[in-house]
Amino acid sequence: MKKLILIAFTCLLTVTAFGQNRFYKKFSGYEGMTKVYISPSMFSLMGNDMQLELTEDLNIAALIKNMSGLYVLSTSNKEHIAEMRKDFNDMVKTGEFEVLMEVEDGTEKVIMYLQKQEDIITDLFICADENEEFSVIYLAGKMTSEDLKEMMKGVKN
Amino acid sequence: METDRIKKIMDKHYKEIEVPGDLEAKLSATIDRLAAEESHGVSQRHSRRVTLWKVLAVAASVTIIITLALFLPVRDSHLQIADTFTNTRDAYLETEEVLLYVSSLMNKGVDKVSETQKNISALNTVNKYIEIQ
Repeated sequence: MKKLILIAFTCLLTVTAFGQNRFYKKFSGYEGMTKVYISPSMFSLMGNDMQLELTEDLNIAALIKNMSGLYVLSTSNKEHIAEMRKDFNDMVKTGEFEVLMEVEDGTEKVIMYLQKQEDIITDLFICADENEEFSVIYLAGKMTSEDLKEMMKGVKN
Repeated sequence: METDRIKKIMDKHYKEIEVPGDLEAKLSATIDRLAAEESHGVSQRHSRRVTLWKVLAVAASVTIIITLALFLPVRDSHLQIADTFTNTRDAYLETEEVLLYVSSLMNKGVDKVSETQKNISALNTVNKYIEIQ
């Protein structure tokens, strides 16, 4: 019985490890991949340090306080792009994602997906295909649509 | 008087029945065999019950594992990925850059929508003009 419990616990840890971040984990190891990861701990440290307000262009202090993770993957390698696109579409198909926005402008194509818990946006995925560069950005946290509107106000194209 | 008569009738009747000599031995063997079969059946039932319990325990364990794996907060796996930045200033700058990029993309989308709305209203005006003509 002890052996059974031990095996069960090992299986549990393995299954948990292959959870939500497997996309980032998989592609961050690829050669030539530009990657950025900011952990929840770093966000909490940033939230505590209010002197970090560096620019007036964008008021992100309120947004940062409620963020718990930032992942960026970007590449121009065509093979990697094909694989990333496939995996990303698979991930979107399996989860309960809502399309926030889809913009197609010439060779540029951007799709934004979000996951909500009631009125709170918990996950925001941005898939950008621009000038032979493919990027996937994932923002995790608790954001409201007001936060996003506020963020957009500060930036003009 | 009556009892003697009955006894006589019975003696006369049983004289005609031959009792085999090994009947007692056969009866004992049969009783032993039935007793042995009964005890074997009990032990088989017991082992079947133990197997059933084992199967139930394994099934319950697997169910618990799957349930926990699905519903445990998976954000704990963040711990396995190393932070790209070691100081808050760099992390903040990068976050700011990413959020600027994201908001520029969002604005692009909103602009497209308003552009389309303008085109639709222009089209509606043209349609109204044609209808008047």
